[in-house]
Amino acid sequence: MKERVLHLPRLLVRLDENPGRAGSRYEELRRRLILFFRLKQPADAEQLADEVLDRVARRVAEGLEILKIEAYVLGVARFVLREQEGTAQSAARALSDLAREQQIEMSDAPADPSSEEHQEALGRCLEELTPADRSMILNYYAAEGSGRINQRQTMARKLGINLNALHNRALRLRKQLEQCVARRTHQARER
Amino acid sequence: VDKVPISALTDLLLHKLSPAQAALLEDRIVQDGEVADLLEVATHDLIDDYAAARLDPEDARRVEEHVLATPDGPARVVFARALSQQQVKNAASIGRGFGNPHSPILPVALAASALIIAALVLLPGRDGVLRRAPTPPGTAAPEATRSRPSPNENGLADSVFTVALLSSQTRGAALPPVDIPSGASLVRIQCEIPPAGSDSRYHLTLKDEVNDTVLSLDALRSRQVGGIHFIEASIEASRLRPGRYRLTVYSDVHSAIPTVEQEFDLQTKNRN
Repeated sequence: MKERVLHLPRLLVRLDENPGRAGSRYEELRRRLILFFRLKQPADAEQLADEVLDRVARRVAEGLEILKIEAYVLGVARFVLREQEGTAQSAARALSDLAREQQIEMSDAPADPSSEEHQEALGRCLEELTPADRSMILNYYAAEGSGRINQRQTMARKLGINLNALHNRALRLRKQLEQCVARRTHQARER
Repeated sequence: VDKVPISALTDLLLHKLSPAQAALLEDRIVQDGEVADLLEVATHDLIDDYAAARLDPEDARRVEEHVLATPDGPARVVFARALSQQQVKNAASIGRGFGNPHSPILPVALAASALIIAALVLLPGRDGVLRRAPTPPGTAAPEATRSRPSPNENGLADSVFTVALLSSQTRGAALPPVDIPSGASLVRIQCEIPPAGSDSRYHLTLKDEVNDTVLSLDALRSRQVGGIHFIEASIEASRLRPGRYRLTVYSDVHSAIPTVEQEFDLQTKNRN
């Protein structure tokens, strides 16, 4: 951890000389790495993403010239993945199986005791959004099946934005709602 | 740079691609933020479909194994279910029906009649008495707002009018009629049914007051949104005349006993 702190500033400067933008780029790289590792090692994705960034930061601190940072990060990610698959395959599978069993138990439960609590929390979190955002998020995720693409394209057109911008707004709002629900349910349990 | 279709990312998440295809997409995810965004979109859609039991068993198994095996996987499913419930509430409150975002209702419905329609429950009780929901407050609207379609809050002009027939309601008095607004070209009828296996098929008939069949459909599959199981059928608005209609759903085309039977009065006085 101490080593990581020592190496991180050099990586941030390499990402962008503006500290604010460098922080954003770092978080964006981390997000993409988490998504990458979730495809292969879902239980350890965040930890592996941090491991990759640590290794890249160390190499940058050692003075390595990296022309395309994303390409280099990808190479390290693949290397870390091979290491992980090679050394801890059985352990990872066991963890994954365990998580899956827990998931199946959860999805089979006829009445999830936390569902009402989440439902109520989400209702309150939705009330905190502006009417336009509330309407947008409910409509965006109400689409289902093969109709999703067409409906979202129509929605984007009518809102005067492109589809990617619509996706981004939905992702941002969903994340905001997930965090709000987690906070509210946590607070409710602490009371 | 080629665009990546969401369907390809869905296949990637479900581990349905060849290793070479998967590797190409994985590279794009790390190197292209837009592709990473799309992967998140595809992930949310898959979790929502899983939570609503819209996936076939094999895909559901793959989602459990590959998408939900993260520490926050169970919480994401709980959130998806809560969101789905909110959508049902939202749909019922503005007359959109189950699982239909913005296709779909006339704005006049937002103002008045669809609010009543969505709250209607015409499911016969055991004693054969029709039941309806209490009409939600604020359903009355100025007549002027019923005159013609206008864009809804997302700027969408709609031409499909949804009639959502729910079953879990309280006994009421006279049934408010379903008033199809002018401009509606298609009427979508969604009828709640008891939960059944995902491979169940239903037969639906809609008969008018002289018992003429105006719609008959076989092999309808049920859908589920937010815990409500329903089947859906659409009919051109021009085929519907004012009067009383009886909608009957059978679990099998040869079955003699209806699974659900509902009646409703239809008005089309505002149609051009």
